[in-house]
Amino acid sequence: MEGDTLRISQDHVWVRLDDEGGRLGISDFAAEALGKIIYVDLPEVGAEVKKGGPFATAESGKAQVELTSPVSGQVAKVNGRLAEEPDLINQDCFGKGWIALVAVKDSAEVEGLMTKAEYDLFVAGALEE
Amino acid sequence: MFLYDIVILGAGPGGYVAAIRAAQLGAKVCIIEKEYVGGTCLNWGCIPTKAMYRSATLFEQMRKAETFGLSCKEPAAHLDRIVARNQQIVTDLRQGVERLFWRHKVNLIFGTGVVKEPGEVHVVTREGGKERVRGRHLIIATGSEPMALAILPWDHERVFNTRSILELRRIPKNLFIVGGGVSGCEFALVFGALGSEIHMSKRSKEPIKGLDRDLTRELVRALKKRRFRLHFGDPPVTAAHTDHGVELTLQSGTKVETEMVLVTVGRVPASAGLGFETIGLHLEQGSIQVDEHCQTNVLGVYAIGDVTGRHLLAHYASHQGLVAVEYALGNRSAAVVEHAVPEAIFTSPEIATVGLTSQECERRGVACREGVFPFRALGKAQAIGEIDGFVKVIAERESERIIGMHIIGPDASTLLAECTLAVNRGVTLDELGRTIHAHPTLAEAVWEAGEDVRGRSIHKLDLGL
Repeated sequence: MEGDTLRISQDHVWVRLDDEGGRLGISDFAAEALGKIIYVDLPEVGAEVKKGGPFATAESGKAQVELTSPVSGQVAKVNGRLAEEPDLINQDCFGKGWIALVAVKDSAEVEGLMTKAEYDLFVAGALEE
Repeated sequence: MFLYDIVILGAGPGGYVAAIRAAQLGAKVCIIEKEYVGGTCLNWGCIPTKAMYRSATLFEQMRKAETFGLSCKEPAAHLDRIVARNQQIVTDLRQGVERLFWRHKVNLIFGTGVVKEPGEVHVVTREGGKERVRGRHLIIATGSEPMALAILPWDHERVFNTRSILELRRIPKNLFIVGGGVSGCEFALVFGALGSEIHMSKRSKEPIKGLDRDLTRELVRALKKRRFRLHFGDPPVTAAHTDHGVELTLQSGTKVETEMVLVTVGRVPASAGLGFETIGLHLEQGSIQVDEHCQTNVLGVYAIGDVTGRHLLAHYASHQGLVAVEYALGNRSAAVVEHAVPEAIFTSPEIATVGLTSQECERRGVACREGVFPFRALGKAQAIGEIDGFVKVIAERESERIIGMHIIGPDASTLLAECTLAVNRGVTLDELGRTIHAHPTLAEAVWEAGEDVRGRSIHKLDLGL
């Protein structure tokens, strides 16, 4: 997508910068690998997250995984809808299934991440290994 | 005056087990109990809370019935009936213990005993009579009592302790539990399942002290999943009674008003006014100090259970009771097992733990390796619809002996027995690995976690995430 600020980490977490900050969620590959998400442990609003540190947990029938934040900053908002409908992540992982909004301290952190096209190649490569 | 071989003060799970074992070994035994046989465990602890836990978890399952293809129309909880059931169970079990005393010719005296000399106890009986009881050996098993909190004195109408809350007949709309800990977490689960909105506070950031850090993380997640409001690290500093209940002001300034408050901030040894100082017993903050044979500093006087201030666990008290009796009656090798004390915690999912935690290994500089297996990867867990949690195995790096096992998950308390045997006997990963675990059972998770220490769990799924 032209001009899309979506970037994805090797930990399968995406971030999209907009006027409010950096919105985080999990990738299509991660959502598919997990299967139907049954619970998301959301961070507290106001909590500090660190790049490379955990910010939430997603749980499916297959696994429970800690999600690693690709950016540092304070949690400004969380997607409250996930409390009732955690599988919004399966339905629309890059949109309605966002998890948290972080007031990103250093937007340069995003630069080292992959574009969607690069990420798709990364995932394909990882599968071949 | 008649001289008993063994006189026991207190008929809780420490004292009554000691009495029966002593009688089995041929001793003449007298046991003195001020209230009811079975002590805190049977009357106001383990047993009635587990009866309530059963009602609460069953109620929760009824509400999940649709998931299993079943319909259950409008399930409802009636606390008065739940409490009546508890009381029936407690009464029956109490009679069972009294019958065991009768069967083993243990002389049971109901009354308050005060130690006058190392081998002499003066008893004011329940009927008001006075008796002098003398014995060669005295075992003190007086237990512990709920610790009071100055800002929240119990009135047993709005502010309860772990004993008085068992007599509540109405489910509170909301309940503030001051002090997490084992009891706090268990009552939170029970009242949360029955429909109360739960607030919990704790002085520390961790709900249960000493728990392995991975279990703590999972427990906090489980509490949050139930939408309990957690105020860990933010204890109440003031309390005020209002028209609707009690309003607590927390350290952070947050104010919370709830209909009822449960204070469960710990327990204190029941050692005051019982003559312990008179005979020169060494007490520290009220706890009687004992060695590995449960001997006190006074010859012929032993102490067991909560009053020794070690592990406040019924089964540890019973174990100490067995050791004290055997040692007193001549088995000089009888000593308390300290490296494998199991503990079961009835949260949902349950928690069960034995041996060293990861933090303890680090603190003691024990080189170790860990394995973890999530229940959700097990067919049985999926079949019964209980997939939360995991088993964690800690083994010594060199010897591969299992030194710690920690479970959070379905039936963890039952799975604990195998783990305790393994830690107690220093079973190796290879020995566990060569032990067939029946399929389909939850115990397979214990086997898998053992295998995972060596990176060879069969069913652990790596999603590549």
